[in-house]
Amino acid sequence: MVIVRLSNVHKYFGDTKAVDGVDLEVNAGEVVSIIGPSGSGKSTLLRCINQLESVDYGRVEIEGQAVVEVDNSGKRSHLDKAEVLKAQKKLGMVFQHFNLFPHKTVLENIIEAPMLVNKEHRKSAVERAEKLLQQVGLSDKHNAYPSQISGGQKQRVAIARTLGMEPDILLCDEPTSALDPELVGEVLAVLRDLAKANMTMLVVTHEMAFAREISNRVIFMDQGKVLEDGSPEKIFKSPEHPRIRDFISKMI
Amino acid sequence: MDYILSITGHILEGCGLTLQIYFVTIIGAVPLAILFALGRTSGPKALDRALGIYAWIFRGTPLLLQLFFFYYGLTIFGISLPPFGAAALTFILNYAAYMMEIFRSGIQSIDKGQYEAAHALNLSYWQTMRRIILPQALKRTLPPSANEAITLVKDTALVVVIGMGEMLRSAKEIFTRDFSITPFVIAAIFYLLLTSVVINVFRTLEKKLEVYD
Repeated sequence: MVIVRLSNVHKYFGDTKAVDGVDLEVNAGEVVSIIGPSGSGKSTLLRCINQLESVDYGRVEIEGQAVVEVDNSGKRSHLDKAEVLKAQKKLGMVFQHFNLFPHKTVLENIIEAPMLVNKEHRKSAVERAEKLLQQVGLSDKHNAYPSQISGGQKQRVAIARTLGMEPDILLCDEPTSALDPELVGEVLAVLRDLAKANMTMLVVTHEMAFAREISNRVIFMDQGKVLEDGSPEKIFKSPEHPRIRDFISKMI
Repeated sequence: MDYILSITGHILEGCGLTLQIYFVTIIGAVPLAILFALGRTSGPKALDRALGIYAWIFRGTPLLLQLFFFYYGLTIFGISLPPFGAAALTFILNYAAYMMEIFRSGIQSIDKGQYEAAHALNLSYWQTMRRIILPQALKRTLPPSANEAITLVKDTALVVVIGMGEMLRSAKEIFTRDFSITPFVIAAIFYLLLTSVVINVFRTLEKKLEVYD
């Protein structure tokens, strides 16, 4: 099953083509890494999927349901709002800067959306949250505030918070870029476990070794375009573009 | 001593009205200011502009003049408000203008990432505001809000100009009768007591919300 399908997606910031006609499909169970130089549009592409950026032209589909569709005159298709919302709920997102709610404890961060959005009862939301905290190795922190835990722990809570909404795909926007080097490992370990458990993931990352290890597919982006889309072996060992070889030799 | 007790009683009667105006203003102005601040930050441009003009007028003219306008001025349009109604309306609109700008600054100081996280978790606009943005914004605006709350205690004395018997007027009446400054000293003590309560309430709130920084 195709979880996310992008067709000819464009996003401009003024004259800058941040995303310049990208087609992409992510299938259930796939772990896809997006790599490339900074400013190549990786994060913007990810943000176009869950409408954190409004698409200027193109179409985004989640599990067959179009969530945004803009034709080349800039006209947006009228889509059934309830259906769009239902589709959007299948997306989970992990941010570079965690974006935990600072005024809520770790546990409250996780149960907030299930209770508000899905009207789940507090008791069952808490039970699930405790399980998720166990899964990310933070059972002892449920009453801590975000300011009281480390960056690596914050990101693990953010992952648990996203999983609390039971998404079908996890969008990860440079999940370890804001972390001290010694804290990167614990976050990657959690993501690795998720990948092993068959979670569908689309990960923008600068961690080449990690991308190579956990991905089924690696996408190289440059100047808003997908330059190459292939298996990790292909991209890392014998990419077609010299540009990619250059980039990878600098990163490793 | 008996003299002091008797005039204190009289001043206390005036204090009742002071407190009524105080609480009516707070209860009316704070929710209004929050709504207006949301209007300015996430409403259409025209609404933002209209609220900007509202703030310009109410912050740019004396409260005393506004009080005259709503009590005497409205009669020209055939609207005649009782003194308490005119006072309440004036104070609510005036304080809401200041509080709107304070809350707006608080809302705008919240990191964009908070909105993005709420969006990614599929919270609606109102859920995002009510549960994520406003609690943080209101906490940040506690110190300037305390200033307003303290100023309001003293501004209530202005209603005397539309003939209302609040605390300061009670004191003035005794002063005129007995030619003694004691009633003013007692009134001053009452004002200090009231502002102390306000200061303590805000201090407690700040302490309580400090836990998460």
